[in-house]
Amino acid sequence: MIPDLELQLSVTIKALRDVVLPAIDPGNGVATEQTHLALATLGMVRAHLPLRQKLAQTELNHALAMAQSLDTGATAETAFAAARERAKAVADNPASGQDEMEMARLALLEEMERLIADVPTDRFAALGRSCLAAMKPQLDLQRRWAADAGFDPEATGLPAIDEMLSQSPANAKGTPVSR
Amino acid sequence: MHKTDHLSANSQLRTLPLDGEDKTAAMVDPRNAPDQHFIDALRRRFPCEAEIDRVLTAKLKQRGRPDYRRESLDEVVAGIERLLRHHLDDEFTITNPGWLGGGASKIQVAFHLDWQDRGTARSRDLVLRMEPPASIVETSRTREFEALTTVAGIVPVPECFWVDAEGAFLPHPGLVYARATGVTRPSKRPLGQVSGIGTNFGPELRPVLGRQFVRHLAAIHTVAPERLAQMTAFDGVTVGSNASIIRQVNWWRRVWEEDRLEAQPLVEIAARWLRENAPALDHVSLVHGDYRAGNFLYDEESEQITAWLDWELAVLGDRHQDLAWLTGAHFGHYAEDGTTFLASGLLPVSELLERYEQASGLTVDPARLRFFRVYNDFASTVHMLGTACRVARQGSTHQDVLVAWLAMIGPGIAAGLRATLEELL
Repeated sequence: MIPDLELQLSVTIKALRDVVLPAIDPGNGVATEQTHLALATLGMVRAHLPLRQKLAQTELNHALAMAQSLDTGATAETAFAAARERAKAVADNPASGQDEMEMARLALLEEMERLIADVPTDRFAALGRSCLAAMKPQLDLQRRWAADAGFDPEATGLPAIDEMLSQSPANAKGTPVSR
Repeated sequence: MHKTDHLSANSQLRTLPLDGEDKTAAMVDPRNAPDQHFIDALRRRFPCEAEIDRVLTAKLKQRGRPDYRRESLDEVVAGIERLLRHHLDDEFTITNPGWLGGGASKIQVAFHLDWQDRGTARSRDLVLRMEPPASIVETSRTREFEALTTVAGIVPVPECFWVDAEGAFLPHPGLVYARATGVTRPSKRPLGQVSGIGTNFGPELRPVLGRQFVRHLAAIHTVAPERLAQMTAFDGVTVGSNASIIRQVNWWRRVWEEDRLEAQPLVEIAARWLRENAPALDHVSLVHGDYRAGNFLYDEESEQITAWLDWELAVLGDRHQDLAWLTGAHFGHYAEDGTTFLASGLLPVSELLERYEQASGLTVDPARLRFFRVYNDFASTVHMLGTACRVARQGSTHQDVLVAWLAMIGPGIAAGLRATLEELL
């Protein structure tokens, strides 16, 4: 066999932590800081690597839920509707790969941002509210994904990442954020 | 044709290519290597201050060039020598150059300089603050230089010497100022997050620094109009008008459009809300733009603030921008009682605002504070979820790993922005 990704990551982390870090000149603050951050980043990658496929699926589902919130019935023939249909087809196909799901999600997000920019003033507040409500599960997922960085202590109160990745958007639970 | 002069029907889909990835496929995103049409469309759609426009336009023209290679220390010192030769008639000597840590966006080199200033021998420890090829915030060294010189003698700042606004002598634009002494956090307390975020000064030091923190802020916000009028790299602003605030919203909305790797409807919702609710200025202040713990140095023995740093986001505008920023959740922490939130790790919010009103003679308006909380979260979302991700992916800074790490502050800020907007819409 060849070393798998998990093994390669774990030996790299060990080398940086046990050999490289102690050898850095303590006066070189830039090198010390970047090595610590490299170690922390590799640790996060190691934890998240097995979840990439589920993440792509969940994020695409979240984008579709947001698109649903923007569906006014007047957008059937637009680029938005086309991107939404494409994303739905990709999401419904069990054979879809990560890249395909990601491309479909990005295209849909592009059209949603465009739609928000173009919505007439008298409809902006209602559509905006609806979209804001629908985007919460995705932002909660991103907060949980980045929680180990330590910037958002309340993110650790969100459900575990495995749980969030297996939830459908409609059932997703969140936690308030401080403002 | 879309009503908002969108950039291109194909301005979508792809992020930058990773190593070994098909680069042709990635080129459908015009942000990767913007052409003149793309740049012109952005400038029309999001008008902002002249100097900001110059800097952003230069950034886009620079993008797409070969990968970043960090200059060696010798190359940077050679650039400093070229800059000094341009400004100094007599001989000078540079000694002890070395990279300096701290800060999330600019390259810093410390060195000692001996030189003659109109017949007088001078000797100072100096710092070169230079832009990397791309930065988490793309800003103007001329504006930073002007802001620093404007507040010199009003609050402690490093003495400014020379600026190279367009990188004519240095490898990239930069400025040279005196090296200030002091620390950003207590040396005997545990390390906090990067960039001074969430610094815990401890219960004894907090009130001492907190009082200076407020007094300095009040002094910055009440700089005399005659002095502000000399800041030529800043467009004029007018009391009674909200045009300058809308211009600031355009600035960051433009940056989002330039830098983002993926679209995010939240940013457009926020930008629209901000434009539609921008308050008219009631007083023109010099706004620091990043006033918080981590951006001042203090002397551990005297417990006096010795220098205010990082003026690159300074604007002429509304004082509430700074007030909303420094009271933000991500820059403070709870006191030992577990219930009192300390703004910037220094003072309870209500006490800080009360002291500020007394020191400045200016009022704190809760509605404006709320507006600028949205504005700041909007701008930070752009920095972290847009620019940080792009420049780290380009590999075009001297500390990509730090920039990518900082980007993870973005989801929390964006979630706060979403929740606030949900209440306001």
